[in-house]
Amino acid sequence: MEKKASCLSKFKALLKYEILWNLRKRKFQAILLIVLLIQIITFIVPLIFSSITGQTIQQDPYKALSSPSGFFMFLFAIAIGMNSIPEEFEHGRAHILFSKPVSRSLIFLAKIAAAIIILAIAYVILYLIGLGLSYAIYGPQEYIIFSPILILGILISTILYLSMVFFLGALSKSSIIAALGSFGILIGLSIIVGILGVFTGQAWIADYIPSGGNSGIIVDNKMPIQTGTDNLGVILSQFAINPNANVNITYVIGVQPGQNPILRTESIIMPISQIAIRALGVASAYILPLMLGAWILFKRSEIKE
Amino acid sequence: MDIAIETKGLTKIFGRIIAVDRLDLKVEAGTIHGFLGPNGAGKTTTIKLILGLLKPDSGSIKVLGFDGGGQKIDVRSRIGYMPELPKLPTFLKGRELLEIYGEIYGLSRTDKVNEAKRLLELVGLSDRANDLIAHYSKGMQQRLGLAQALIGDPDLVILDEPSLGLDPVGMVEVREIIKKIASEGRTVFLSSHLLNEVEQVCSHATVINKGMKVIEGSISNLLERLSKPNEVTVELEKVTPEIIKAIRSLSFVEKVNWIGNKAEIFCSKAGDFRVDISRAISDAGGLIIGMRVEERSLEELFLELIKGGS
Repeated sequence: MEKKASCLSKFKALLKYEILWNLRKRKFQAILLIVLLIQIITFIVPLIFSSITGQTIQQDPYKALSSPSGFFMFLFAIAIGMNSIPEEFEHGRAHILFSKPVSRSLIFLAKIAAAIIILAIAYVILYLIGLGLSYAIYGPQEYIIFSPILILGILISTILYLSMVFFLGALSKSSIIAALGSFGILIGLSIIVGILGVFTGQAWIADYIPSGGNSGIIVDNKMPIQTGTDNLGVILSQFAINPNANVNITYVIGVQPGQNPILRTESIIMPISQIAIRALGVASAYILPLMLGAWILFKRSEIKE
Repeated sequence: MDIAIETKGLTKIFGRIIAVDRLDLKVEAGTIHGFLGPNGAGKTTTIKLILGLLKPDSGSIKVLGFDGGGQKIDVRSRIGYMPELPKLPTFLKGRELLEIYGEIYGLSRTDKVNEAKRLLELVGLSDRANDLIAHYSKGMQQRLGLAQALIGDPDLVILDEPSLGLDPVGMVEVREIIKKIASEGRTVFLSSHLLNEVEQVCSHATVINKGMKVIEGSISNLLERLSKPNEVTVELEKVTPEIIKAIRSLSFVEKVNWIGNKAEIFCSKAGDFRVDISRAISDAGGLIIGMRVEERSLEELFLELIKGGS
C-alpha cells in the first residue's frame, strides 16, 4: 500500500470530513430550513396582502438581486462556525485528528473551504428559490447574469461573521462562547453605532464595522441600498450592473429637540464604486486578521483535556 | 535492539502540577510495552507528549528514531493512536471514518475501501459498517477506535487504556486483537491501570506514578521478582527465646508475628530468604516442621510501588 499522501488528497479527505459533518449537523439543517421558509414567506406575504386589499403588486426587475438580511448570514455563520473548531476540542475529537499525518494548517484550511462551499450551496439554493418567486410575483427579472456576483458578495459578508466565530472559537475552545460572543459583539456594535449616529452625528462609523451600514438610494434606478458590509452582495452586483451609478446616502446626524423630537439627517451623493471598494476593504480588514488569529491559535493549541 | 520510543528527562507542567516529571522511558521495537500507573499518574500526558499533542516543558522525545516525536508529520504517518475512550466523529459512518483516515494516510481509492473492510472485520464491526457512529454502543466505538489506529499500517501503535469501558467479553476480544497487531511485527505501547491486562498482553512494562518512573523491565523479570517470597510462614516444633532472637537478628526481617508455634516473618526486601531463615533456626537449636512462602500478587506489588512512589 502506498503510504505517502499528497497534500491534495489529504485536503480532499479533510474537506469530505468537514462537509459531511456540516451537512449532517441538525443545527445547520434547521437554520437552512428556517431561512428557506422566511425567504418564501417574504415573497408570499405581499402576494397575500395584495389579494386581500386588491392592490396589484408593482413589478420589480431587481427583486431577485436583493440579498437575505445580515442576520441570516450571521445565523449561517454561527451554525457552521461555532462548532467547527471548538467541538474538536470539546468533544475530544482533536486527539485522533491531530495525531494523523496532516498539518493543522491544512485542517484549518479545510474547515474554511468546507464552510464556504456549504454556504455557497445554501445561497445558490436560496437565490434560485428567490429567482423563481421573483419571476412569479414581481415579473421578469433583469441582470440575472450578475447573480454570481451577488452570491459572491453575500459569501464575503458571511465570511466576515464566520471569521469572528472562528476566532472566538479558536481562542476559547468553546462553541457557546464562540456563538454568544459573536452575537454579543454584533448586538453591541449595532447599539453603539446607533447611539453614536443619533447623539454625536457620527453615523459614518456604521460603514466601518460589520453591519448594514447606512441607507441610500441608487440615483439611476431608485433601488434602495445599504452601504455596510452586510450588503456586499447587492453593492457588488449593482456596481457590476452600472459601475458609474451614484448613491444618495442618508446619514443620521442627530436629534432635533422639541416636543416631538425628530432625527436630523444629511444626504450625500457617493459613487457606488467608492461604496463597493470601501465595503470590500472593510470586510477584508476584519476577515484577514481574524482568520489569521484563528489560524495561529488553532495551530498552537495543545490537547490538554 | 531498535528503540521505538525514547524519552529523556521528559517534563510537563500544568500550572503548579507536574504531570510528567523527568521521565526516562525506553520502548523496544517489536514489543508490547505496558505503561502502567494509577489514574492521574501521567500516562495520558506522556502519550500526548509522544504524539506531539502537547509540547514538553523540558526533556527530549525520540520516536522511531526521529527527534521531537509526533510533532513531525512523517513520524505521525507511522504511528497509530487510540485515545482513552476515543471520541470519534459521530456524524460519520464507521466505514466513512476509516476511508477518510485512509485517504489521509495516502491509500488509493481501492486500498482505502479494502483496508476499511479488513479493519472493520478485524474488530467485528463489518455488519455495522454503514451505520452512523452515533448509533454505536460504547464498546463498538472503542473497537472502531482501535481500527482507526491501525489505518495506514503503522509501525508503532499507541493505545491509551484500550479496554476501558468494555465488558469482560469485549476486554478479551480487544486483548486478542492487540496480540494479533503485535504478532505482525508492530510495536504496541499500551497504557493501562489494569495490572492483569498488562500481565496478559505485554512483554515489557514501565510503571509510573505522579509523573515519575517507578520501575521498568520485562514482564517476566517483574514477575520473577514478584514470585520471590517476601512473607515466610515457619512452623516450629517449639519456640524458644534463642529462636526468636535468631530470627529477629536477620537483617532482612522487618516484622515477626507469633501464633502458637508458627512464625509469620515479613521481609523488608525482595528475595528468597528461606535458606537464611532455616539456617538461623537450626543454629538456634530449633526444628522446622514446615515452611511456606506467601507469594505476592502483581496487584500487591503495584500498590506497594505506588505507595513507595508517593
